[in-house]
Amino acid sequence: MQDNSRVIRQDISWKIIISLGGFFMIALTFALGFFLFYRGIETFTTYDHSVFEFLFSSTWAPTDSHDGGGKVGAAIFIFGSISTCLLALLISLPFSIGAAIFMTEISPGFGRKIIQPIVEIFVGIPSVVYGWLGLTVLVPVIKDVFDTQYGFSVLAASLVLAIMIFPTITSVSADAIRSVPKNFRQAAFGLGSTRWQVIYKIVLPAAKNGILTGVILGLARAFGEALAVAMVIGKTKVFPVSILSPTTNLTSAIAADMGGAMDGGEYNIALWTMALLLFFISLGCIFLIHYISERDGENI
Amino acid sequence: MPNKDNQVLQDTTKAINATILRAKLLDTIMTSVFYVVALFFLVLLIVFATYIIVKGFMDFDISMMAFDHRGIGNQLFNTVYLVILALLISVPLGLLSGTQTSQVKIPCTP
Repeated sequence: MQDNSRVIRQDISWKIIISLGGFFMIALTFALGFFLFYRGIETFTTYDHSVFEFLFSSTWAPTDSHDGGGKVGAAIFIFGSISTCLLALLISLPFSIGAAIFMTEISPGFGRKIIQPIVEIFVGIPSVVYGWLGLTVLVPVIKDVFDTQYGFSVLAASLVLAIMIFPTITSVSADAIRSVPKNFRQAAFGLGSTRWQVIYKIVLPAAKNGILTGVILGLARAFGEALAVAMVIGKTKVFPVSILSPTTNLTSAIAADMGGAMDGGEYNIALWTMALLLFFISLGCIFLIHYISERDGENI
Repeated sequence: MPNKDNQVLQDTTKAINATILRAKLLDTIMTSVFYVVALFFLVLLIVFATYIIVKGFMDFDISMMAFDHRGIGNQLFNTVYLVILALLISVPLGLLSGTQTSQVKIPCTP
């Protein structure tokens, strides 16, 4: 009897400790979001800029003081982020899905033994290495091939990002394709389909939601990537004329300027607002993934 | 009459054969496309890895590992040190919250 109550007491105390741990993580996430929101909103409250100006004006001249009165149009940064990410997605999407199909449908043994580890190695390479390689190899190559002045360009940033997001898309898509029931394929083969017809008409539509999840995960990673992009994008605060001209993006602007800006000043707060925007973008991506996977659950 | 039927039959067979041939051709083309993509990755990684390893080892000298201003010993140590410190904080928290979400049933958590 005595022993029993001790066990129960232990059970309850551990339950409390574990719950505290869980709630601490939730509280931490909310605190992070709240802090970002609290700082980021000051551009619109304390310094009296409109959301429209922040999102669509390209005049970036915030004052580095508490007085305000500068211009905080972040359209160049936003456009830089969006264009590099979309271009990176465009480059890596065919390759990632192709690799995913190859390692699951065409050569599963080889795929599991060789391609899967390769993809995992790509995930493990730190982003600074990608940036360094981009800076030392890709930028000079682009400079020579396209005969531009520096080689820092949207194209270089997109290529680096494309290499960085392809493992994410590939592994998530491969998982989605693997989880398509085998009898779907057997039925299609039994009707006389070729392998490509099975892939194109059966497997890809069935794995569509999983592939979409991978794409969104990759996109979220591309949006949040700072170091590698900052090293090759050129950090020029103008709209890119073509994909060969340098520009800048949200993450590299934050990384480059946050250290030098006065705490609480207009410049500093404008950077916080950019961070808030990035936070909202990744939040949106996560919600989208949950929405898709929920819809997926309903379909099957 | 049988002649006309025969003609229709022949036409249909020809059309079906053409479709099958096209499907097979497309299958071959797409299979080779996938092989090319996979090969591309293989080559990309090999080039990547060889470039980093060869470039890294080319100027390697054992004095680089020294713990002074010429070597990277301090940086290497700090990297490992930071990782261990981060693990010390995040492993208990992660374990606790992971256990909480999967084992403890609390009405307001999923």
